[in-house]
Parts: sequence; C-alpha cells; structure tokens
Amino acid sequence: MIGDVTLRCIRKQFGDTVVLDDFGLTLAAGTVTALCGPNGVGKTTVARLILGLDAPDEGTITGVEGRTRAAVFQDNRLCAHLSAEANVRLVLDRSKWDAAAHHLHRVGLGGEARRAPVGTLSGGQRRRVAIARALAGSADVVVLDEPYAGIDAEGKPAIVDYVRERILGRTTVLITHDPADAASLGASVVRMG
Amino acid sequence: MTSTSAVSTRSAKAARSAGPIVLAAAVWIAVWQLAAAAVGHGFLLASPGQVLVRLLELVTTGGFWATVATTLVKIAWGFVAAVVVGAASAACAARSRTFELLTAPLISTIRAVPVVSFIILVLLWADASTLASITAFLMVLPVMHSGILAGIRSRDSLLLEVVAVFAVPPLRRVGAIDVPAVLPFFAAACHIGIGLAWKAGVAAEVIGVARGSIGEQLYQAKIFLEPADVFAWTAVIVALSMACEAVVQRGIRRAQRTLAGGVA
Repeated sequence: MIGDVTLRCIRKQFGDTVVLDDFGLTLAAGTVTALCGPNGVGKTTVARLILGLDAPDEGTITGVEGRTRAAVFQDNRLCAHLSAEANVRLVLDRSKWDAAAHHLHRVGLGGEARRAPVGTLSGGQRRRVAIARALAGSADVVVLDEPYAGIDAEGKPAIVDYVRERILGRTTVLITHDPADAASLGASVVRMG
Repeated sequence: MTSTSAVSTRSAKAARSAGPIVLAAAVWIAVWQLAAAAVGHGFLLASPGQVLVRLLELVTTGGFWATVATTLVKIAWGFVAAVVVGAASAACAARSRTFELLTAPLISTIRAVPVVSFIILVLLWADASTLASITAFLMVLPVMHSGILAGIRSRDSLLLEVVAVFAVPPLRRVGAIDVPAVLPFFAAACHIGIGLAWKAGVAAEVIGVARGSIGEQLYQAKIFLEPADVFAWTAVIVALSMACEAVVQRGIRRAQRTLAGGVA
C-alpha cells in the first residue's frame, strides 16, 4: 500500500529570496491535489522538491523514497531529435514500448506526427507528447505543471479524459491557475500565497 | 526508399557545391605550373605534370601500397587509441572535479610540448616502428579530451532532470542524450585530430626513418634531391588524410541519423 506524501516545515531559498518558509503539505495517497496561486509563490518549487530535483534547506519530505515518479514539466523537456514515439519509449519499460503509439493516439498524435522528430512539431503537439510521456507509464507519484498549456480548446476535453483516466489511483500534484482544471480532475485545492 | 529523382537532385546539388572548389584548385595548380616554369629546374620545383607522372609510376608499384598500408595502420592505431583514451578521460573529468584537476596539467603539457620533443623522446624509449602511432596518439589526445569534455558539459541540464525523474536506464540515456550532445564536438575534434595525426605521424616517420613507411620515402626523396617524389608522397598524405576524415565524418553522420531514428 502506497502511503501519503508529506512535506513538513519546508524552507527553501534561492540566493536571498525565500520561496518557501515553514511550508507544510500532505498529499493523500492515490488522490489529486491542485496547487493554485499567483506566479512566484513557490508552486513549481514544491513540485521540484516532490520530484527529488531539489532538496529543502530545512524540513522533511516523506513518502517519496523508493517511489517511481513522472512529470509534465512546464517547458515540456523533450528530446528534439527523437520522434514523439521515441520520447515516450525513452521513459517506459521495454515491455511497454508497443503501447507508446496507443498513448500518443489517445492524446491526438497519430501517423506522421508520431514518427517525426519532436523538434518539427507544433507547441501544442509537443505538449501532447509531454503528457503521453508522463502518463504512459505507471509512476506512483505524478506532477502535472500546467499540463494543458498550449493545448487548443477543441482538443482539450479528450486530453482531460486521458489524464483523468491515467492518474486514477496515483498520488498526483496538479499545478494550475485554472480552478476548472482542478475541478475536472476532482482535485482538492491548496491555495498558496 | 530513396527515389531516383531524389538521388539525381542530390548529385546535382553535390556537383554545384563542388564546382567552386574544383575551380579554386585549378587556379592554384595553374599558379604552381607558372612558378615551376619560372624556376625552370625540376630538381628545385617540380611541375604539376612531373608530379602527376611520378605519382602514376608510384601507384603501379607493389611497394607503394605496402608503404601506404604501413603508415595508414600506424596512424590509425594512434588516432583510435587517442579517441578511446580521450573519451574515457573526458568522461572521468566530467564526473570528478578531482580527476579533472589532476589531468588538466598533463593535457596542457601534452598540448604545448613541440612534436619534435615527443619524437626524440619516443626514439630514446622505444623503436621507430611504434613512433608514428605514439606521436599521433599524443597529438590527438588533448584535442579529443577537450572536445569530448566540452560536449559532455553541453548536455541539456533540463533533459538530465527528466532522466532523473523518470529513472531512465543509463545506457538509454547515453544513446538519447549524451551521445547526441557529444557528437558535434566529437566531429569537430576529429576534423582537427585527423589532420594533426597525419602531419605529426609522418613527421615522426621522417625523423625516425621508420622502415617501409611514407616518412622513409620522403626522407629518401630529400636525400636524393627528388622534389617530384616529395610532392607525390605529400599528395598521397593529403589524399589519405582527406579520405580518413571523409570516412569518420560519414560514420558520425550515420550515428546521428541512427540516434534520431529513436529508441529502438
């Protein structure tokens, strides 16, 4: 049974700027928590701490040790020279490679777009690849940082459905400015700042 | 599948880009011919015609190919060893600051020491048969080390965070992120290194009078005052250096295409 992820008394500063001070948060296992708030309040910093990319200056984070993690980063972070399919495969177990095409299809990328180098795709298409990459596997903890940024209005409902389906039962952090996005995933909302 | 029209388009493009190079070469050969005619003594400055005739004579002898093979193999050994050691030392330097600090003076010293100093030292410590390999190795090693280290440092730190979050296996990371980042730097290092290997390797053979080598042939040409032979063997060295570079760069381009093909 996967336990909660808990951040206690977290302090994090970059240079002279204190981003988080005595910050606490509990992510109930298998649920979705949305972090909302204006720019610069430390939402992405919290995500980086949960993903293990930064360490807190003070405080503790429990419940993430030994857990597999996945993320949709704010800036996609795809290998531009690789195809969409190869980007998804890169993070998947070899036994699941055949499923990469299916996941890309679910986010609206098929045929040529799936096989073309990601660097040649549009911003919206790249976002779709980043979403498929994060959710094609079965990570225990998932961070979604503004996942629908750059997605067109017509394509968004299908992607929201895909995200909702894939994060079911996983501990998920959604960073968003849009309360409707949080509601669409049934997230409990934490307001920061 | 490549269509016939695509091939012919590529050929036409290659012919167009080669045109100015051929024209420039023709201009300099004409200048050479005029200079040779002005000097008027073949033993001082051989004309392009004399060099071509000598080259054709050399090519038809069995000894020519054996000589070429001897030097080619020795220089290739030195170059490949420099690539392997340079890549390993660069990888270690990228991982460990201590290793980088330890090796930095050594690499700087190798880079700064004149090639003749190495040649004389190698002649004192080893025999002339290994001279070209060791000299080529020493000349290429700093170029490879620095080039590959710069390539490793150029890797996208954001992609490395992706690798860390998703726990991507190391070998897969090497193929998808490390090698594509390093390849352009490696290609540039090869471009410089191959030329250096040939220049230094043949110079070492001349000084060491390595038996059965191109260097020995150049030495003999100097002893017997045969400028046509010097020019002919020099042309052979230039052609071999260019051919080696073409082969290596083609291999690098193929590797880039393969990596772009994706994780397979």
